[in-house]
Amino acid sequence: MSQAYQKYICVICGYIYDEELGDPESGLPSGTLFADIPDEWECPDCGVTKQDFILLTAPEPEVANVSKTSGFDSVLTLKHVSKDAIVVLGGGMAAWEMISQLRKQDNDQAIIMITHCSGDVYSKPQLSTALNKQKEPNKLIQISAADQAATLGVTLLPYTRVLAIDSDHKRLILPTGGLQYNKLILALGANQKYIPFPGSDTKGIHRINDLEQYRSFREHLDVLDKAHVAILGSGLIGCEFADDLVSAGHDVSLIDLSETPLSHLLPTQLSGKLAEVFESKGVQIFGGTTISEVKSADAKLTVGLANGKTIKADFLISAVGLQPNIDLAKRSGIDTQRGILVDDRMQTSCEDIYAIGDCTEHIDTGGNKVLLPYIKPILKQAKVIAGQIAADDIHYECNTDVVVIKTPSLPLSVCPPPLKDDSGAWKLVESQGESMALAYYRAGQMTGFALSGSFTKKANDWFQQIKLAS
Amino acid sequence: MSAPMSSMDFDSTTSISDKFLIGDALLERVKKIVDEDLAPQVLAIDREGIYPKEVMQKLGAAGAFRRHLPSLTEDGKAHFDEAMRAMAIVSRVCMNTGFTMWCQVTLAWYIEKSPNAEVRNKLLEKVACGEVLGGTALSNPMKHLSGIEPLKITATEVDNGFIINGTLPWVSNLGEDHWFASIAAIDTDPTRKVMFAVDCSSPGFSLRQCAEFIALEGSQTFACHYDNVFIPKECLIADPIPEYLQSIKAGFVFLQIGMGVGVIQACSDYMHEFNQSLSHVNCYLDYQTDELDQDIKDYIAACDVLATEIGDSSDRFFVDILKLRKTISELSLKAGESAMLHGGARSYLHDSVAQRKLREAYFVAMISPSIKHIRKEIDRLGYC
Repeated sequence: MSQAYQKYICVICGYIYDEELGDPESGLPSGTLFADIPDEWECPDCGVTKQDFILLTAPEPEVANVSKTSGFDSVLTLKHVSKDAIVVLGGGMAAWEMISQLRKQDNDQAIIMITHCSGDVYSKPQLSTALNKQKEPNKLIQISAADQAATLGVTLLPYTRVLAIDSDHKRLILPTGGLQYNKLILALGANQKYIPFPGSDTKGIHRINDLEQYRSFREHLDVLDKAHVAILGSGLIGCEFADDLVSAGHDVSLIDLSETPLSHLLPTQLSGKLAEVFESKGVQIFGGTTISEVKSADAKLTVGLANGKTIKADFLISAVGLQPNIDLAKRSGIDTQRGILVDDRMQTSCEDIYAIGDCTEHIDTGGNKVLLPYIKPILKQAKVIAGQIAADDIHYECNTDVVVIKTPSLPLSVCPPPLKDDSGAWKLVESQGESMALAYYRAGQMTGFALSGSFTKKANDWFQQIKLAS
Repeated sequence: MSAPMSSMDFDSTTSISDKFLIGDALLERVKKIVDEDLAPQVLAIDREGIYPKEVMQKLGAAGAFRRHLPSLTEDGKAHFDEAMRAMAIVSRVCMNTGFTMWCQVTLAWYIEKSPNAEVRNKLLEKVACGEVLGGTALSNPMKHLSGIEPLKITATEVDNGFIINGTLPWVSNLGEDHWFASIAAIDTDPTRKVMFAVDCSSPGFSLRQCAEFIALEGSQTFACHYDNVFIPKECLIADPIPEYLQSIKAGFVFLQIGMGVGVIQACSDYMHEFNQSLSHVNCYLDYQTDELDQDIKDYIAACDVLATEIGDSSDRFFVDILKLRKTISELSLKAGESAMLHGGARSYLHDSVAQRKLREAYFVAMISPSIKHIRKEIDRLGYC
């Protein structure tokens, strides 16, 4: 009669005792049943007794090879193709627009995108209106990174950090190895400045400039029916979030050194009008002050202000201003000041390395160094870089443009006068309730304008006037 | 001025920090110890199980175990790049000793980061200078946290300490007078874990030599049997542990990298040597010296950037460290195979350097976190 031998596994080290084989070296001949093994017998590999063995029953079901379907490829597999590739560092709007423009020039060129984020395609301006449009963060994704990469024929390395750029040898250094490039385009974006006040690392303080950071904020916000959100910084992003949050029914406190919101972009009358509109909606404005410290207790924040006042909030959004991400470039010997410096070909100080979007610093037509953290410049810059790579002598003109501020409570369009042009003055041209039109005149010539309410619909007409006059 | 902690003689008016070398001077001393004291006994260590105790003590006395410990460095900063380089110099010649060095520096790292001043006062300097040798039994708990296997030892809380029971299969760099770090789950509340330092001479604790390994026989690797072992509170490293583990895991993994860098450098040395006579046919192999040497250069450049950021306890940063670690495993396997092929038939001799490097390369790929463990962990953390 055949014996149905069984197997027992040591839970400590994984040694398998097979009754059919026994353990002859320990004096257990083949066929020794587990039940018959003496109590003093020890596992040959780790010394434990029978008590730490269990019956090996049905084998684990085999799981398909996960590594073939997940993004586990290291650059070791890419390095032989990368030396002819254009490599784009970044995964935001600038990076994808750049790749679209490259594809318009050449369908066969090898393109590699390396991004620290997921690379999923979304429109950043939509982050600051998502609450009122009742959009969950994931609904803001228009196309997945994988789909967009497949459509554009791009090799995508998501969640991948570039540690250093060796521009002398045209190599990128990643945690997974080195990669040669032919041309390199930096689309590294910007981040909200980190302000180190006491308690600035407290949980509940958020800096938001991308979908991942926004998602993290919403995960905390959405569990509360009504939250009190303090916002440090009444610039563009601070005001847009303030409007979105208060319109969605949350309490908002807006803190800034300036007395009224958006005072760096808007003329005084309009900045004051925005303050009125915000206050009528319930936003509490704390102007002329800043944060002195933040403390946390029972998941609530106590925000102490320099003027002695205190705000009790559930969250704090720190939105004091965007800072271009220059760390990688700076460490790698590429010229930077506030941003990565580019010339009118969008080339950095290193040959074959270009930069685009929020990470860049330009010289405008007036000779001033400017940052342009807006959407419209990206489209022009991408065309210039794609053209340059295709050997077209196309240049970027860093001109003034219209900035649309997404505060639905008071729509705003501004064409700021050129920097350092403080010899002129703002003049109210027209006013109908919340709709206002102001123009900036210098030596009889209009060099800027600011519109609110229904007048914003005429922003393009106003802009044409500026272009004609210049 | 603190009282002398080392058993070695020195002038009591000299501060401890003056004794230890740093920077290039340290690396030169490490190379000297390796060339003069370690190289002659490499084969005996690998296959006969000779434990390189004197070499370990000399390395400790030179300062090779302390560069990553900010409380003991000259500038209060961690120099993980130097720690990596020192380990690479050792591992290039002897992976066994590189590994025991990793056990040692990791134990020191745990103690450095412990919020318990008592355990730091008791052990940190002794471990950092090599007066006390020891290891780390965190392979099982790390795998447990990644969902790979259950935790193997339990703790019963009592007045002034814990009673520990259970068995760990393979913990290295242990001996009668050694210490190591271990994690146990509280028996009445398995969700609560505690981490502690264990004196191997504790009553109820025993080391069992069981398995024979394909390499690194001189690593003093034992099964650890706890039979009602009392651990006093002064030996507690962390309780609770979640935040503590988050703060140490990047350093724990990064510190292993020197072993891999050493073995791939050794493979490169071997390949260059055999190219002197076999270049005409070795040129047909897939992985050549120019590519390997470039990979080594790139890899060290990556290490040098991440070494400055080990204080980052975020999951995001840990994923980059895991990728770095996985890469050295992959490079080790490639380099080991290529070294064997470069040497041809001579690689297959029993005492060839290549076959030892091949076994050592597999060690780099296998020791926790292994390649499969890393991929599972990156999948779990979601940044892929």
